[in-house]
Amino acid sequence: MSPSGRIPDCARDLLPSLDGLRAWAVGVLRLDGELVYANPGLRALLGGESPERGRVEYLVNPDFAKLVASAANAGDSELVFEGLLTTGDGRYESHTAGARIWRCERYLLISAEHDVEELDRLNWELLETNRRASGLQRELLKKNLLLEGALEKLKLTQAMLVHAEKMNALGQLVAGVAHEIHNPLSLAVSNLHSLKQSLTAVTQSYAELETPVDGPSDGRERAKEIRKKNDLDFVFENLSGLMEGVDQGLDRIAAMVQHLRSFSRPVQAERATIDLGAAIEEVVDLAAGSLREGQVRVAMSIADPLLVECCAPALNQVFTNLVLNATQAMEYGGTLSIKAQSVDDDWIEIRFGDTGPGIPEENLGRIFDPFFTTKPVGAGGTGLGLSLAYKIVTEDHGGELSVRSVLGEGTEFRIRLPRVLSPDRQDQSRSPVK
Amino acid sequence: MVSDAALAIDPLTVDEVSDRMALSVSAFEEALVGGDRATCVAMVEALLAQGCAPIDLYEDYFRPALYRIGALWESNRLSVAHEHRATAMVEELMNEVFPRLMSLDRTGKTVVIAPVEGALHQVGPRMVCDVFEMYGWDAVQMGPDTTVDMLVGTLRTCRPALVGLSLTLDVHLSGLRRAIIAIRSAFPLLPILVGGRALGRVRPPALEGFPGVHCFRDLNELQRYIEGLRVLRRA
Repeated sequence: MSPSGRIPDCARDLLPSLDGLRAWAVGVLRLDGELVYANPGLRALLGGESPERGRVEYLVNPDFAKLVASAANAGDSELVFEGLLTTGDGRYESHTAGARIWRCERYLLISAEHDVEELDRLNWELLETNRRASGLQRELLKKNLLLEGALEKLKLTQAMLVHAEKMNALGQLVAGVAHEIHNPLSLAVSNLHSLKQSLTAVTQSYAELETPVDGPSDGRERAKEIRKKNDLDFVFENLSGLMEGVDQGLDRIAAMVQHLRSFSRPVQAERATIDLGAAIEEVVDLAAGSLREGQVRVAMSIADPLLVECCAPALNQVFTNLVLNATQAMEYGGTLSIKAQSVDDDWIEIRFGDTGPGIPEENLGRIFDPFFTTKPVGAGGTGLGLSLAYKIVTEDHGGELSVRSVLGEGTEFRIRLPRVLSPDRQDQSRSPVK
Repeated sequence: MVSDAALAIDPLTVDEVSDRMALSVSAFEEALVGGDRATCVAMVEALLAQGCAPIDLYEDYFRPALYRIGALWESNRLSVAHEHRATAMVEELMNEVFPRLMSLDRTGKTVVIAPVEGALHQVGPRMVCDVFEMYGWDAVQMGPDTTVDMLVGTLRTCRPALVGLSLTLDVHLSGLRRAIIAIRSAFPLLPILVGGRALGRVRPPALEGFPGVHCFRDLNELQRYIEGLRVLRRA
């Protein structure tokens, strides 16, 4: 708003130099309420940048009526007000400025400045609040991340606990079944041995009875008749094969009972600190025949040394199982990659990867379940190998065993083991057979 | 003084940033000074997507841009409001990056990071905190109003494995000495890390005679120090 001819002489010369100022608010009000002049600073205090929007209604404390009343008692060029002037719309907008207001003829001359010290204080408070808010946001982000991590671990632990509980219940059942089978099986094996000897004796005796040096010819004829009628040539010829079959069947049952008993009892071996890398190499050496036969190439990358406190025979059993499983999975040969390395100060990790056909998704969630096998009946799969490995790694060593598989590309088993057995695992490894 | 309007630029998307520019510090600085949050976020996202490590982002972009903005303020070409807004924006960006750098593998160790008494800058100490968080440490950052007594009190409460002091301006060197003397008196064996712009390229003479005080010129040096601690712990 440019100074006009209505502006009192006392202010007219000064006003043009104030036009660009915002921090210092200067203006002229006629006593009837008309805003004659307001520089940008005063226009901001009176609710608008444009002249028509600057309104005396924005004078809140003191309001315009009070100022006019004070001016009525004041002489020309006399101070009407000095102090904090509050302006605003009474609702959302509010400003405070240190002000002086004079009467000048029929006008009020307003001079006000924003409180710089207050602004500095506000600025400082704002910065500090921003710092605290930012710090709190950071803290929240951190806690959120940690909670998410803890939740994932809890889920994993819960899954492991559920599985462990299942294994435990199954272990007790299996222990009972194995015990019940073991005794009659021992009897059957023992009797079979006697039976074999008895059958040999019977066969030989019958042959001797059939061919007496002396005796009635009708006796010999009768013996021939019986041999022919009962097809004894075939029977005697097959007896040994049948016995061999029963023998092998009982051997397999005995092996399975042995597996079941291993499954149902804790690891018994003494704990010791061993170099896992050396143990893995030993297992691979022992499996060299199977690997060669299966045309499986082995690619090993083992960090040196990988010292771990463990029950070595049990872990060897796990490694053997994984190596042989991988070999069998690669029907037409392939590569078995074994990587073993430190994860950090407390954990090590071993990965067994094959280039076989992969495991279908519907089977992935079941491969650690006892008795789950995809091998055809009679191919020697008990379905206990991986569940036993799972038990040894997770329950007996407090580790993790997981699997990842891509159809057409291969399968990878990942074992994570703590470098040191926790005290409860140590106790468990020494506890008697359940 | 540069006005906001003069500095304003159109926000860029992440793709545009990737396609149009090998992001320069000056472009980032321009967006910061202009208050262009969207472009700053897009630039940071693009850099992270291109594989830039968070600490490199701090060292190669945030730090030089803020130093340059500080220099513009010193030469009266930028207002303190511009500088404060740029700082707040960088802090926001750091909060965006933080979840991607923080390690979930926690060490259980604590470090307390504080500015030297009188120093107001907080972005540098926050960067230092983030480096520690990246290695699984819990970093406690103290505010710019921290007195030496408050710092020692916090150390008694937190029992940290390390304490870090940030020194931005030379004028605070005497404050740094006071802080070190107070810490040494209460915790004779506690390692003290000192970093910040005022440290320059050499250990200041003011720090001579204080054992167990380690000076760092940048975050990379600090990173190597923390990695060294991990190796020591493993050994």
